[in-house]
Amino acid sequence: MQKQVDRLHKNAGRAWTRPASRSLLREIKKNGIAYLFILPAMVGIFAVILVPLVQAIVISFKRYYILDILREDPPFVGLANYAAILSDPQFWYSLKITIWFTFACVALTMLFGLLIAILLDQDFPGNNIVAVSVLVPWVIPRVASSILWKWIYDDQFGILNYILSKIGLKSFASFPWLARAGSAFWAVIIVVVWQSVPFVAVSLLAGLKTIPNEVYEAAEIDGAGFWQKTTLISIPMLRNLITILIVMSTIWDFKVFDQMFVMTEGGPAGSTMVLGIYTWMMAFGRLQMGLASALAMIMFVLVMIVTAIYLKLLMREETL
Amino acid sequence: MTAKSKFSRLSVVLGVVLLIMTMTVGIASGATTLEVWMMETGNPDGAKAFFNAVNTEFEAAHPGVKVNLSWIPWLGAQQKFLTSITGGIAPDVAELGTTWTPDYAYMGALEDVTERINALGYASEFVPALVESATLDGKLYGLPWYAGNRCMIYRKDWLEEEGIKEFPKTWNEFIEVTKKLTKDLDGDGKPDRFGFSVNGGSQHEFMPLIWMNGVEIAIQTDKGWKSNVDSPEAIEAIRLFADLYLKHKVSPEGSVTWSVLNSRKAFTTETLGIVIDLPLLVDRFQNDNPNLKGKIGVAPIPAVKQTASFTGGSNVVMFSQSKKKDLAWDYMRLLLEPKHQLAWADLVKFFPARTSILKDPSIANDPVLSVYADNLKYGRTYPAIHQWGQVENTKILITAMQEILLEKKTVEQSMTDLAKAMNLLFGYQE
Repeated sequence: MQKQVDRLHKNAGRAWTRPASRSLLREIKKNGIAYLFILPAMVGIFAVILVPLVQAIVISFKRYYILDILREDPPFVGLANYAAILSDPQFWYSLKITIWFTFACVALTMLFGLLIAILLDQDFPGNNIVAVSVLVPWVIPRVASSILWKWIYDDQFGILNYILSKIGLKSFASFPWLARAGSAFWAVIIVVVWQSVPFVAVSLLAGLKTIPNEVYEAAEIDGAGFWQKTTLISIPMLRNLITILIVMSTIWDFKVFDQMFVMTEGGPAGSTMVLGIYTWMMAFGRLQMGLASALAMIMFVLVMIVTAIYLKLLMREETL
Repeated sequence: MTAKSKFSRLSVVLGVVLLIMTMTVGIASGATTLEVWMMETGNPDGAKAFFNAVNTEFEAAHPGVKVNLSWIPWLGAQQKFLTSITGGIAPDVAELGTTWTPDYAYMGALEDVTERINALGYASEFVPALVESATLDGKLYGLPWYAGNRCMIYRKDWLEEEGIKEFPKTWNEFIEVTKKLTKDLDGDGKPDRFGFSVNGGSQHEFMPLIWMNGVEIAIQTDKGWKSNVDSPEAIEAIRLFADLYLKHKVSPEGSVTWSVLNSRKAFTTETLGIVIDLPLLVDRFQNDNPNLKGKIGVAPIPAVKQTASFTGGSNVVMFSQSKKKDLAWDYMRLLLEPKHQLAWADLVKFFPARTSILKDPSIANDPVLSVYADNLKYGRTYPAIHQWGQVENTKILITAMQEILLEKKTVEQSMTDLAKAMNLLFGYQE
């Protein structure tokens, strides 16, 4: 009798629990076929993201010099790799310029992305053609476009110096854009922004299209102009999308590698050695995989923190 | 059943049969395969033809043996070698760039071939720089194969215009020549033709000046290898080079980050008078710009206290994992036969590792190659230690030079910092 009551209680409890808290196994049993469908993707994600991530964490606690691994298993060294990096002045320099680089890239990308999105949202003949052509920089592989830009910036044969000297700026006739610390830094920022603006612009354009016309019409009746409609309606209504785009751009730009590597290789004189390149150099230049993994972990944590802050801000605004 | 589906079914059956046949043939013949990795060259068709001939000869001399040759692109080769070594699937024989040989030797991946080389009978005639690159702790881990050194390639006609009949033999004379060649041709107040390029983006041009001033880049002490770039002689040498840009202004403004690719471009387009480069460039310059035909001269690098040039090239190595070491050695030896040495040298425009072969008329009577060949004895290579790869790959040499050229640091400061950075990589402590 008591057993039956227990079972009743149990079943009652089970009936009242929400599906989310049901055990994973039951969930799989119930939606078996659906889980079967996502299984390949899950296996893929596990194999190419989770396994390497865990391995990188493990390696970051080892002294892992590639030329030594035939002779001995890489020994655990605790936090020594992290300590070495945090006391390395190059790391702090790289971190500083990576933050500046990311800040400049994200700000400029969002600014131009928004401008282009608003422009494309207007009705003018041929705006579809413009919208498609805006996408072009985004579809060119990054390394290919970086090589292209390297030629544009070339001090002797670059089209940029050619144009500048043709319009009267003679002093730019052989200006070495990539051989000066300041100009090399900004030259790469221009390329990264040029290449990330299309995605942001198209995403924002899609967002703008979702804002119902009635809202704008109501504002117009109240006497709102273009500026007010943009700042008081469009941008606030796109806030979530903008936040997500900022988070994504921050992640992308913080780990910049290919454009910088092709165009400057971290030079001149190490002035554009962003964390991405520094990590690569630690891994494939110095063959110190332990130090490189520790660097990658530090970058990972930094990006996670930034992302968490953004998302927190986003959620707080939603509850207001 | 339609004709089409009948056909497709037939093709599937045929495909499976073929697959089974090829698999069983492979098993049944039980051929011994010698795995050989060679680096890709600028002349792939010629290289393939060369190795077809070598492999046919080898297979004829070793019945039942098949050579399986793979071409390895330079880009990403390091990763390919490292992963195959650690994965236990390294080839039997491979070509290895001189600066990589110490890395893999230190790693324990290469077979010690000292005794085999000494038994060859011609071990004493190898180009010294190649032997230096293949030696670790007194043992040889590679068979020197071919060498490439650098000389000065210059515009004969421009020198003649200035009344200079002979290329300078000392560095001070060289400075004067580069000053004369640097010119403002369009009258805008800035030079648009330059005597020389300092190529701040590659080290093979400026590092040899340290040797030329009579000292070593690094020295072996009882506490391990120690950088010597902060010695007074080295500092003086680097200053001599940097002054071409800073003081004499005979080098283009952008050459702070130039590599040989840029200086070659400038020489081809006739905006640069002198470059330090490999022999194969002499032909290439004339092919790319026919206007340069007959106007190019070559000369040894002018001496500071002596001349020197960075000499690279390749060794052939056998991996310690190989289970066919005697066979591998036979193959390596075959590549060193005079006829193959000459054919390969002609193909890749480098020099045979055996200096006796340099006397062949095809080299000794060639006005360009003979200059280079005569200077091979002054060829030097960077310290053959496993940490050297890190010195190059982390670009600290280039960074140090760029800091000087951009006047971020003085030569003394920059070289002192470079010595510290090198000692850190060497694991050297005072």
